[in-house]
Amino acid sequence: MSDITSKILKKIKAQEIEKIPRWRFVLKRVFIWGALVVAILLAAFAISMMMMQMMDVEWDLLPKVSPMPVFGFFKLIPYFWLVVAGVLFSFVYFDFKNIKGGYRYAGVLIIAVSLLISLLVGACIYFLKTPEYAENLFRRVPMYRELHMGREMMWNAPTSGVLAGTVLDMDEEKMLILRDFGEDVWVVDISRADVQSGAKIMVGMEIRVVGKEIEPGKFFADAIRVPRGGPRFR
Amino acid sequence: MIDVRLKTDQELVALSLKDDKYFEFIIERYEQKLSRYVLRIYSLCKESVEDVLQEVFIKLYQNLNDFDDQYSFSSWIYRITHNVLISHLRKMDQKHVLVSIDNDDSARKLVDSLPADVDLEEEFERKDLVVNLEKALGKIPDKYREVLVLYYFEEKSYKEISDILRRSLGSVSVLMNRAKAKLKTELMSFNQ
Repeated sequence: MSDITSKILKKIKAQEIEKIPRWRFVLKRVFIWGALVVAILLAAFAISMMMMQMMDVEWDLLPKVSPMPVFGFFKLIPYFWLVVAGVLFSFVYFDFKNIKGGYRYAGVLIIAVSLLISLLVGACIYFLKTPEYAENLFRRVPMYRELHMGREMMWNAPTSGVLAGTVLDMDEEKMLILRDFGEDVWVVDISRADVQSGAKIMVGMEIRVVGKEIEPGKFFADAIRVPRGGPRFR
Repeated sequence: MIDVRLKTDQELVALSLKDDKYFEFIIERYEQKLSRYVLRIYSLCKESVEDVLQEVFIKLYQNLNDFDDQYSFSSWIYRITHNVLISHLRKMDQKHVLVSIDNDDSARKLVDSLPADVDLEEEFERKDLVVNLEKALGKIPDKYREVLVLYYFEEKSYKEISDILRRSLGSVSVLMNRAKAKLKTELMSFNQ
């Protein structure tokens, strides 16, 4: 037995060093895999929220409310969920590198595969309408609501024929009182308005109205659109 | 009586997990190899090499249950050594390190592989070649030195290096090319 071998064996014995039990390594692996699955599911959820917010954009009205539609488009990008997804994908990348053999895969491949899985799962979540319910809940958080208002302000351009806000009161589907996102109150004539997908307009709903401003505080509606994720009723 | 010399690394690990007395044979099998590896990466004094090896084998002993026999045991123990060495190098924080090259054939093989306009081997005297190579290796960053040492002196394959350094094969290949270019620059500077 060499000198160093004997020193090591003596040290193990003297310091009562023990082998770490197998179950601790198994637990660590389960934790790493679990965190990976949770991160991919959360990223899928973030993607479904982005899908909902981008599908909710009134593309046909964009040239109306933004003289330079490209700038308007940049205002509508769901930055919050984009950042959330970015953080989660970074986590997935580093977590995957810690999985046994994970380092053998190129970073681009790890991100591409996790993105593809998240897109597929995210699409399923989107079609289950989960983002609409979640959006409704998130809007109760003041900071998130501010971000939402910032995006919705895009659709509040009465001089350009678009109004966006919350229904305060209604009169037998002929007239409604609307507080826009700039806190101005409007009387909107909806007697000849087409309501998107036949949705029932109710007090407390957030809507977008297309038409024209008759006079300050009065608006004539040609069409009413109901963005997703808002409160359906109060 | 089991003849442990005929046992594979995997079998020795399995035996060590059942009975500590077999761990001794793992140490004896790898002690010299790892000692040479450490000196090729960083020429430490005898006591420091012993310290590094002690830490490596104790970590190995503690983590024996984590060994997955789908992977090479040799790559695993080199990985542990790499980690222990990295933490030692961090503590030392020196710009230029001393490297000990103990194999002339490997040194020539490495120099021959460098993309150079001139024949570097002819440029240096036989004795100078090893001295200059040691100096040049000592000047290049640790990550480059390590990949060259693993391939040319430890004779590890790219796949094994990928397991030791925990990098993809593509990344090992990029690292190797950069390491050769750095080493060539250092060697050429000695000749000017």
